[in-house]
Amino acid sequence: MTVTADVVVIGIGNPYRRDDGVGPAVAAAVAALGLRGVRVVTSVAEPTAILDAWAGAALAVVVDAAAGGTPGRVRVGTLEDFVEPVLVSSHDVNVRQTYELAAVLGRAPAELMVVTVDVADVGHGEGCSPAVVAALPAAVRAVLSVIGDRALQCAEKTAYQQS
Amino acid sequence: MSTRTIRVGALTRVEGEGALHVELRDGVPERVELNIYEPPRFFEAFLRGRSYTEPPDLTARICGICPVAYQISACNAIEDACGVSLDTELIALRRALYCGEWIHSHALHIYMLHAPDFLGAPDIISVARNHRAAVECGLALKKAGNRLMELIGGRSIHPVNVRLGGFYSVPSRADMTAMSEELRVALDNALATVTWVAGFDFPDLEIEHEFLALTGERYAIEDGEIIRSAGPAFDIANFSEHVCETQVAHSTALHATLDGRRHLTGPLARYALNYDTLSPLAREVATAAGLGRECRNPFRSIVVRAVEVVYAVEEALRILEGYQPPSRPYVEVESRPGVGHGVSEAPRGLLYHRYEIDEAGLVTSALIVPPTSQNQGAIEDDLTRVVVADGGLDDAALTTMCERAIRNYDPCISCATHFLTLTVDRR
Repeated sequence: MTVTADVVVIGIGNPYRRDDGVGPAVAAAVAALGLRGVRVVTSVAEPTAILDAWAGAALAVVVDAAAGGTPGRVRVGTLEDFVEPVLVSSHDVNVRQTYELAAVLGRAPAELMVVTVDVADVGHGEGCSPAVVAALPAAVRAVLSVIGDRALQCAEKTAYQQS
Repeated sequence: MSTRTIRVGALTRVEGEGALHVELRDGVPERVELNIYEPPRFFEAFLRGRSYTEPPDLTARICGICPVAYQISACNAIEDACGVSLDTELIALRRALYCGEWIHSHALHIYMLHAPDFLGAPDIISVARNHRAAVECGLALKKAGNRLMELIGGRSIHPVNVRLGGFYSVPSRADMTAMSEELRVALDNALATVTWVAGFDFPDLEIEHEFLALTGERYAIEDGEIIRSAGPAFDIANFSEHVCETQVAHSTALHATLDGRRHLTGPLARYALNYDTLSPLAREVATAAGLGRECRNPFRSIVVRAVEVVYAVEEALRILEGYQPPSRPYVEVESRPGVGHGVSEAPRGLLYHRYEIDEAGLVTSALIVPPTSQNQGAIEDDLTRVVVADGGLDDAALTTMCERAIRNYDPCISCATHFLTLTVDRR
């Protein structure tokens, strides 16, 4: 798949806090696909780093761990679909506040989508719980689906403008 | 007889979890407590039995904002125990890494945590709506500090390149030259920051706490000798005889005193006790910002921090522009039984480490005294003064003033527990 628009996939989380590492794991799996036109960022150490990662992007897909649901459940939505404190992070990365700041500074992506995976264990250590590991393919498909939909819309728009 | 109670669920724009309880009877404060409820983290306990090489990396995990401070104080202490001195170039590289942490930590506090207090804003997002250029300046400044930490420390949060005796690897001259270009832009941003914060309105408050800091030939950062504003200086090896920690019922963080009395460490203390070692440019901008040789108004600490950022950027530039890769990345540190003491100036103040090492090279005891533990007494005294001076304010306004009095010190609760719910009780 080649994406003509500037797309960035941002995996948020700490791989040393078990399931909190699901965001970077999904982002790494997307990176391994080598999609042209898709930038992948996995080492987001603090919120302001996200400002640089998604500035100017047509689409940003943020992948993060979520708490409170059935472990392994994958959800896709806009920021408004998620009510904090559903998004969790051991370093208190608050995506909503970062997006609000980015919007004020004119550094927000044109579109922001969020993919979350519900977690079971955010204790110390490497490796996700079985339920979250089993959900990785579905989470990657969710990210690709979001990117694919936008690529298709972009292609249709280009074709319409050319006709 | 009148009583009054004000409660706030959780203090914001501080690092960590804590609460504040103030009780007033007939307008007189009876109880002013900073309640730190973040769980104790027992670092000193689990360091026992670990190899003498491990404290720099383990203690770095105490704080995500000032990990370099923990690494360097730990290295200084263990190198002291093992009788090792570093090459001059390696000390300079440590100082440059530490400058990166000062720039990043001070920029974070000035712009994201403290500035909203002076602009009547709840957070940096609101500040950005009316002061976009300033916030962009602050973010760029913070980024420069992070970049410097990445270059020398391997990454900006919990750097991985620091080891006993120096570094695992050292940067190339080309990388340092490129970083210098970023720091020249950062210096302009640092100067603009001083001008911006100097224009804020500052409440009147004069503190009388004794200042405690490090001092040296250069403005104290990565090491130094103890200096204080009232009593006689003492050797670092005698730190525990003078700075004593005690447990208090209302906090999971230990409270430290200096010879039995409250004291203050951090930017105000450092600035007052090291003014003469600031660079000419830093002194010039301090004067232009209305600071004298000493500042005892904690609300003006934001200006002092901004001056320290100017200094840190200049100092990093000085080191980077004269940089040649050291002949060796580290000095070998062989274990030997003994006791070592190490200090450095974390962004929030003096950080002391002490380790005892046995014949097998294992840590048998560890003691860490962070700046926020030392500053709790001073913070509570400031709160008492604010409550007395501003007791006529309504509950919301008084609560805001109390929160501001705390944020003046950029307290790091995670460090102090190895801090905030606010309660004001007026009777």
